[in-house]
Amino acid sequence: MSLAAELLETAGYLTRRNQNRPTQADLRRAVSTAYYALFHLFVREATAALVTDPGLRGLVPRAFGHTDMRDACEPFASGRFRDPLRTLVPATTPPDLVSVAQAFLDLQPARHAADYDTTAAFNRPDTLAFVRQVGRAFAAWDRVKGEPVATVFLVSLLLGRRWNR
Amino acid sequence: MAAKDFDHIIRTAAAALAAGTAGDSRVVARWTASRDLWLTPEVVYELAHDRLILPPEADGRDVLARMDQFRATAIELSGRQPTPDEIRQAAGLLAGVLAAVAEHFTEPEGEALVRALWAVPVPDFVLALDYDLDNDWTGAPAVRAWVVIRDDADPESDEFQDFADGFRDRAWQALAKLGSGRIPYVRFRPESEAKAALAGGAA
Repeated sequence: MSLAAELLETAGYLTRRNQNRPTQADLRRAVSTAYYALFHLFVREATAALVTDPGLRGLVPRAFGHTDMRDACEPFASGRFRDPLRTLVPATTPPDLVSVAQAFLDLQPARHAADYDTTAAFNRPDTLAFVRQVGRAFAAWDRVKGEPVATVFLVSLLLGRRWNR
Repeated sequence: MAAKDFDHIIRTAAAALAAGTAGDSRVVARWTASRDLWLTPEVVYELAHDRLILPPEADGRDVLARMDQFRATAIELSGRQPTPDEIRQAAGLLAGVLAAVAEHFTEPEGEALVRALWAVPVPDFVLALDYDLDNDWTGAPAVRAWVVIRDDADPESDEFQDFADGFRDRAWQALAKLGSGRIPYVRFRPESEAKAALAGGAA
């Protein structure tokens, strides 16, 4: 099982612990872990698309940044592409890729609140919705990853910010 | 009560009433379930004070009369189960008030999300919506939307998850259609949590 899949499973486990009286710690860790499951899925897939050298595959993941990845997801989620990306994507983004990008956008601020905002209160419906959303994003990614636009998406996660300079 | 908090009360009440029309018995049942979010004197409290922006003359007097009648009805019905007819009457009174003042309390993005919420048949556990226009943690323009759900909603059910996924999609589409560059962040809030937030400073 990949690290991403293990993280998703762990997030699910955390939502099931103490079902009747979930602790804030469990809910926060579940949200954060679900986000990192998606983060590591993206990093693994993008690294595989970019490099084949085993040594580089250990180094490239360190180059990914949360904000850059968020910015890369935004056009795929909203359908608002700018040049030069606009020339590389089809007129209509596959719905599965839209779902994947939206899930990352949706989870990132939640993970930020879970990890850093001590005033935020998490509830079980929201947390379960996040974890299930990531689970569905994993399934959507499996369906769409063979399409050429998926490679554009993966490469933009690492390099998209530089294309906008 | 801070003006911003009152905006949340008005928005949540308006979203609850936007579930449909009085001729639909399922809508009346939903209004009954969500009555703690709209059938309270607090909903018109600040309208009767310094936030009141009325249409001129006769229309303005009509709104004032409806407001007084709604306040009296809300007080009379507090603490007991209203009949469907009482719910219809109270909803009609408040809808009339809100129609006259809504433009001062709502935003196009919020209205689009409310329309998107009720655009399709939704599960009975969905009661209302509250929202804030804000920036997300990266500084990007965002809409934070809280769907108010019944406390006994089962978040593990397929019905809940299908609704969550469907509404997220509809929220994105609604904002895109509006030409809004804001990212919708959809969250779920049990009714008891929503009431506490509205009572103690929303969101």
